[in-house]
Amino acid sequence: MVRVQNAYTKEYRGQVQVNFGVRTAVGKEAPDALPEFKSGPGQPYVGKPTPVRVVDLREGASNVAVTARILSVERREVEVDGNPKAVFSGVLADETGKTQFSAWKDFELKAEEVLRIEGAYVKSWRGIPQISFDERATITRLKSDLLPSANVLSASPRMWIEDLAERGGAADVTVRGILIDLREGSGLVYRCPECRRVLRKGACRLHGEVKGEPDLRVKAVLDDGSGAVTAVFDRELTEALLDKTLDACIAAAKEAMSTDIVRDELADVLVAQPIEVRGNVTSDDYGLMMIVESAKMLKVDVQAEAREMLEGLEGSA
Amino acid sequence: MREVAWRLFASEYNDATLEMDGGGERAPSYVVTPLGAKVNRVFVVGVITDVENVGTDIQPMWRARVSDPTGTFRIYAGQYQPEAAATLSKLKPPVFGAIVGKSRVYSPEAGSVFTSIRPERIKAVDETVRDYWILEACRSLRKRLDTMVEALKMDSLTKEGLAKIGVKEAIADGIVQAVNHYGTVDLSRYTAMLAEGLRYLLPEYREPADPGEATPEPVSPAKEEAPSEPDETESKVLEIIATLDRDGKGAPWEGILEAAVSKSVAKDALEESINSLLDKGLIYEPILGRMKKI
Repeated sequence: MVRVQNAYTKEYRGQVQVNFGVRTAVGKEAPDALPEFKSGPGQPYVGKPTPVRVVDLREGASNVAVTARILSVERREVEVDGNPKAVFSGVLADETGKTQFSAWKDFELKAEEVLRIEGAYVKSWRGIPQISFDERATITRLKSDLLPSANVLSASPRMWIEDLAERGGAADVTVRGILIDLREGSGLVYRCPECRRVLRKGACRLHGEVKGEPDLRVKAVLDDGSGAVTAVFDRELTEALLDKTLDACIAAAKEAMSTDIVRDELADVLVAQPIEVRGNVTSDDYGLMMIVESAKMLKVDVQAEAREMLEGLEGSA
Repeated sequence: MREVAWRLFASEYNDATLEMDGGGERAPSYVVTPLGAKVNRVFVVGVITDVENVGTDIQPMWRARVSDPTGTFRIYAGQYQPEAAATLSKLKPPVFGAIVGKSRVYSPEAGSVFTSIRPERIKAVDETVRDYWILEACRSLRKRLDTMVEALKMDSLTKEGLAKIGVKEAIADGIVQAVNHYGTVDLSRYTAMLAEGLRYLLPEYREPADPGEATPEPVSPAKEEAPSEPDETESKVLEIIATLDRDGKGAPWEGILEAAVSKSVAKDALEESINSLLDKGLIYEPILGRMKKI
């Protein structure tokens, strides 16, 4: 039991931290100076919840207040410490963005309704912040016209990669950038029939030599001038970008006696081109990754944009 | 985390004289431009010319120039950039090329600094890609200009102060380093560069209706220390270009070369003059392989 004097507080990622500096004095106190502290879930929060917009949710924040519209919700049964428990999960949104949520108590949430949730906490899954709340939270139902309609809120917000990097990831966002490079393993690949891993030299890392199943994919570096993500396109998207089916690619590779031809063609079509992609962005030690849900090559009216910028420049001069 | 690929004009990049070591063994190094772009990786699109092996057959070192509306990047690809070197060696210049690469600084002696690019990937592209790149380079330049204007208004420039007006940490670091190294930057030079880049994209500024009448206002990118007056050979080349530009679309390269040789200007000297004229902003390349007087 100690008494700390002249400490100071700082905010880091939405959380308050107590810091001890050179002027801080620490002294011992009697062991019974305070009642016993029980940590962990179920303990009530101390103090007022902090209002946060969805876009500003950061991993580790707790006792936050969010005003949002429920876009979807479903009940799932999970096991917690060996006991079955119901969790109500789905997607909620405000004007700034969308996020997955998990409610560990039945608040009778319904899609479309607008709520104020006070006393929630933020966890993250592969860098994507998600909001959770339980019996410590207070739910207030608000008027539906307080926020835009579910349709409007469902749209995928356009974000800069530097902001995604700061957040660590985000669900269903749109990014515009240039595919500046293809990564290793793009094009025609063969997968292990057991674990779907891409084979190297005809062998799976786990299952050894197997008869691989052909697949198409692109792993490309998408750079928007503010940052970079690895964008992963599945077979369907790759076929659409190439305007060629998997079977046609296999035939072309057979004729050329190398799968490089598919990769080269992809590089021809994609590299240095502006593109708009939509999907979930996750992060790990190697950086940001987007699993692309939809993509379209961008046609930009360069002259119109240049004219507008030039007029702005001359106007301010 | 992968380093972002900066879009910036050759003229800003070549103004840079500050190299920053990331500290630590494997930390990335940066070139900091006068506007505070802290550049480790670049993405540039321009006209590739003068591709040449300046190494040996066994240890090739491919050198090339990449021109944008404001100036020329120098790129070098050697044995450690096999893919880029192979692509360069096969290109048929002049050609539009997109290059992703790392920033390099070479200082043969104190006080002289040369920036270059060590390419990771090179791809031949078309004019659409080049035009879009110019637009992106303009946007990026505009953002740096706006931020620098705000930064120079501050009584004492700190990263914390910049963070308060919404500048990201990595960007703020570059700005503080730039102001410490270059002092108060002449922003008008870069505003002119921005206008020059934008006008390059607009047909109304490219081809005057009547060559005899009012030509578009020449944007002077002139650096104080670099005289923008053409030298003797350059004057000859300028004259050739003006004479051969019969249809207003610019003088074709073959014609220029022929005329130059007949006026006893060697091919090497001609190429050097043209690059220098491009740098000085006295000529430009309206379409690939054609030169036009401004």
